[in-house]
This record gives sequence, C-alpha cells and structure tokens, in this order.
Amino acid sequence: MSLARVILRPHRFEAAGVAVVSVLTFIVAGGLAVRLLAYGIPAECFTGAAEASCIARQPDMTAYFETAGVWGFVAEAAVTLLPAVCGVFFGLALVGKELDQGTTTFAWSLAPSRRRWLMQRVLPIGVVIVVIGLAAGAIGDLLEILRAPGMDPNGSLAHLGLRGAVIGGETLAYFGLALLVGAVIGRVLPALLLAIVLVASSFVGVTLLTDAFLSTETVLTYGADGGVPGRVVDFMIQSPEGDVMTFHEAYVRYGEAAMESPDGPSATFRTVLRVNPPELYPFVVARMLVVYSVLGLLAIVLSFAVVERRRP
Amino acid sequence: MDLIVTAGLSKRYRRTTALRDLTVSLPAGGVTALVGPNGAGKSTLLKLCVGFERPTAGRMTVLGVDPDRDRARAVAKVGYVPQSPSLYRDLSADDHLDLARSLRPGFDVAHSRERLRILGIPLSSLPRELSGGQQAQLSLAVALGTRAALLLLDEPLANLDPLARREFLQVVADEVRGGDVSAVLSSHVISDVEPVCDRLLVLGEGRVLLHETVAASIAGHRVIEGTGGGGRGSLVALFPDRFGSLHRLVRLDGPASVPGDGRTPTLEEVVLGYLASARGAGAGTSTTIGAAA
Repeated sequence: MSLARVILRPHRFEAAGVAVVSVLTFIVAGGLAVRLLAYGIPAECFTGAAEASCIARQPDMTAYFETAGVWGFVAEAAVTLLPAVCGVFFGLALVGKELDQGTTTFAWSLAPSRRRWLMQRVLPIGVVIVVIGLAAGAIGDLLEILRAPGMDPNGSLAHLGLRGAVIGGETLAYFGLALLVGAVIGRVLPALLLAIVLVASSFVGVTLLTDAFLSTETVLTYGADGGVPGRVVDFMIQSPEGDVMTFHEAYVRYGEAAMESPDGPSATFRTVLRVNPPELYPFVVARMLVVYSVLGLLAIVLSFAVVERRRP
Repeated sequence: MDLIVTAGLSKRYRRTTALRDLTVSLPAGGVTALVGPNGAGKSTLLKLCVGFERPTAGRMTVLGVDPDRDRARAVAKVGYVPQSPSLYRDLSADDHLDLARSLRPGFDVAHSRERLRILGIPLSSLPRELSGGQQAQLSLAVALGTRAALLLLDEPLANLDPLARREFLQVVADEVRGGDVSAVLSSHVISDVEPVCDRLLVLGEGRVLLHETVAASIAGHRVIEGTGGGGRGSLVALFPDRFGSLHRLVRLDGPASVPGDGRTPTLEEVVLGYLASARGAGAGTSTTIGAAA
C-alpha cells in the first residue's frame, strides 16, 4: 500500500483526471442506458411489428430515439475519448513528466535496475487503465444495443473500434505510445502534442487497415433493400449472364437497360450486395484487439529500451 | 580496492569536450575533493560513475565495476547526491525514504530517518516546505541510507548558505570517519570543501591538473612573491592574489629549507595556481605554464 502510494502520489493530477473523466463517462453512458430502459418499450416494437400495443407506444418510441440520438452521441464520444485520456495522461506521466521534473535523477541513482523501476509503474497502472478501457467497451456495446434495438451488436460490424473489447486494446496502445514519446522527448508539453498526433494517427491507421481487410472479406448476396445481416460494403449488379459488376461497368457494357428497375418481376439484372457476414464480427474484433495490443506492447518494450539507455 | 579508476577516459558532447583522455586512480578512504572551475568535467566524471552518461572513449571502473558495461552493479555500489536536489515535490521526506527502499535493495530507512531526526527535519515535510539546505540534507540522508561504500556528491553545496554548507559537510565527515565509507565531493570553491577533504583531484578543461593528498599538496609547493627568479623547483603558474599582485606557485623538487623558497601556500593557492596553469595552456600564453625556475 505504501509503495502504491509513493508511486501514485507524484501522479495524482493524472490519476484525478482519469478518475473524473472515467466517472463522467460512466455516468453519462450509464445514465443514458437507464433512461432508455426506463421507457419500457417491448423489443418486438423495434422489429417493425404492427401490433396495436406498439402503435400506442409510438410517442414513446419517438422520444426514445431522440434521447438515444442526442445523448447517445455524447456518450459515444466520451467512450471513444476515454482510452485516449487514460493512455495519454498516464503514459506521459510515468516517464516523460519524471524526466521533465528531474526526479529520474533521484530514482535512477538509487535503482540498480531501471527496468524494475519502470515495471513497478507500468504494470499496475497499465492493468488499471486497460480494465477501465474494457469497462468502457462493454458500455459501448450496451449503448449500441440500446441505440439500434433489434440489431445484433455482435453481428452488425457497426461502430468498430468505438465499442467492445477493442477499447481495451486501444487504451493499451495509447498508453504505450505516450509512454514511449515521453521517454524519448522527456518534456511534457512537446511530448503531449506528439502523443496526441500519434494516438489520432494510430486510430485512423487501424481503422483504415481494418477497412482494407474488410473490403476483401466479403460475400455476395442478393437483396435490393440492403436489409441483410452483416455490413454492406458495396452494391453491385449481376448481368443476365451471371457476371457481377459495378453499376458503372454495367452501364458501360449494357447501357440504360441495366439501370431499368433491376430486381423487378421481369428484370434480367439483379442487385447484388457485397457484405461482410455477421459471423466475421468476433474475428474482426479479435484482429483489431491484437493490432492495438501489439502496437501498445511494442511501444512499451521500446520505452523500456529508451529508459535503459537515456540520461536522466 | 580503488574507488575510481579511469584510463584514457573521454567524454564529448555535441559541441564540447567535457573530459579528455583522463587517467586517474582514486584510492579508497576519506573524502576526495574534486575541484575545478565550471565546465572542468567534474559533474561529467561523477555522472559517468553512476551510469548517467556513457564515455566517448576510454575505460573506467567504480569500485571494480565498469558502469558502462554493468550499470546495475555500479549503481548498487554508490550513493549519489546531485547538484540540485531532484526531489518529488508531492512526496514527504518519509515518502522519499519509502520510495528509496522500494528502489534500492538493502536500503537502511532507519539510518536515514535518524540523520533527518538529528538535523531536525520533519519526516512529514514536503520539499517545498524545506530550505535549500534541508533539501540537500534530505538528498544526503537518502544517499547515506543506501549504505554504499562510495558517496558521490556533485556540487551539493553550490546553492547553500554558509551554515547549511557547514552542516552538510559535518554529516559527510561524520559518516566517512564513522564507517567504511569514502566520498568524492565536487566543488568549484575550494574553501567549501577544504575542512573535510583528505585528497585533492583538480580538473581543468577535462584534464587532471593535480592529484594528491591535501597534506602533500601543501607541503610540495611554495608561493614566491612577485614574478622574478629564485626558488627551487618547477614553476606551476603565475597567479594573482586578491589584490591583483602576481605570485609564482612552484612545485618543489626537494625539501623546502633554503631561503628564497617562499612561503607555504594555502590549499586555495595551490588550486588557483593549477587552474591558472590550465587556463594559460588553453589560452596559449607563455607566462603561466610549467617553465623551470
């Protein structure tokens, strides 16, 4: 307990900041969930059932979706920002701030092993913030269910990276990146600016990487209205010969005939959807989690190497 | 075993050279004053000892361990007090001792607490509640708690008032006399460290200018008034006294019993003479460097 106190006390500003942001996030998200559940709208009303009881609840459903829309956006933004705040605040503090304030001279002149010094800090704080990230991810999943009732959150592939276990991986990645930047630069303000850039870049990078993978992990299915399970990647068209092509290619090859009411009773062209099947969701989440975790762990390992070699 | 042994040790920074081909061996025991002007390489030498810097060339050992190759073992053998106390502003004195215990195997908290108690420094006080002298004492108490065989004190007196300096030096002297502890105390003010030091290592522009015991330093030199001839031995340098008059510092070749050999120098005059010789060599003047008398 004493050790935890002396390790955390110099970083109490960061600890307080993370605690406040976490509590606010959980209050907003949890409050929204409670509010939406309090409407008590039966699940079947969200599936388009035309029962009288559902029609009578139409005003409640309108209010439900208004609340989910406005506060859902706020809660989702909070859940999205939480891993960045946790990771960057603590990541920068553990080495960068100590270097900036010169306290590493005190610590490193006493510690025969700088690795142990860093491990004493990275391990407990890393575990705590990853747990916070996982909790935020679970709340993100809950919000997804409440904001889009009737949709299977584990199959929709919507809001990837903004909910679920991925948030835990993101927290680890942002923590590692901030730790590394702080260890290399050794000044809080420039390190903060660079860490923000790196965190944003890694989020965009992993999202683009995931999209690139997903664009190749598709199956073709019929469905003119797009109401198919999974994530629609592209609308395409199938010629009478059975060739699948883009609408542009179809127009070039067949002219206006391809565009005239496909899927109609007498149509010879059919709309084809390229979709990521819902069963892909656990694999995609696991892959994003691995990418973020590897990024975070790599940055942490590099931070250890930097701390081992640099001057205090 | 010698405290610090260097062989051809050099340390270059981007634009400056802090140490040049330094070869020296400091024997164990007592307090060694590491003296030189600002930029002489004193802090660099101590930082190399504790693994905070890496040599550009040459080798060194600290109590038989090369800090560049095995920093962990080297750090485990020394207690280090930096130039300005690098204390955690949010941790009390006692917290610093707890932190030190978590970082350093075998850290003697009781010994450090006793030192602070004797000095009247409350264990609950934060660094901002302590004077500069008390902060330095806290740093020293932590270093003493390591029970290291070698204390490296990097200009800890620089920002202290005279009373605080005296108290600090008293603690160092007590510790060195009371146990198997040696200390290397760097300063650019010889009068600060003279009361406690047994040995003198004068650095100038990254080189060793003088290294011997304090007693030998004083006995082996003479100050001769004026710039004329006379005296036996080698001229170290011409140096001005506080009124601007030039004197010669001469290193004796034999016993000083002949009239005209001048007077016994103070330790400060010996150091001043050697520093003047380095400056003269650096500036390329012909008046101050080692011509035979």
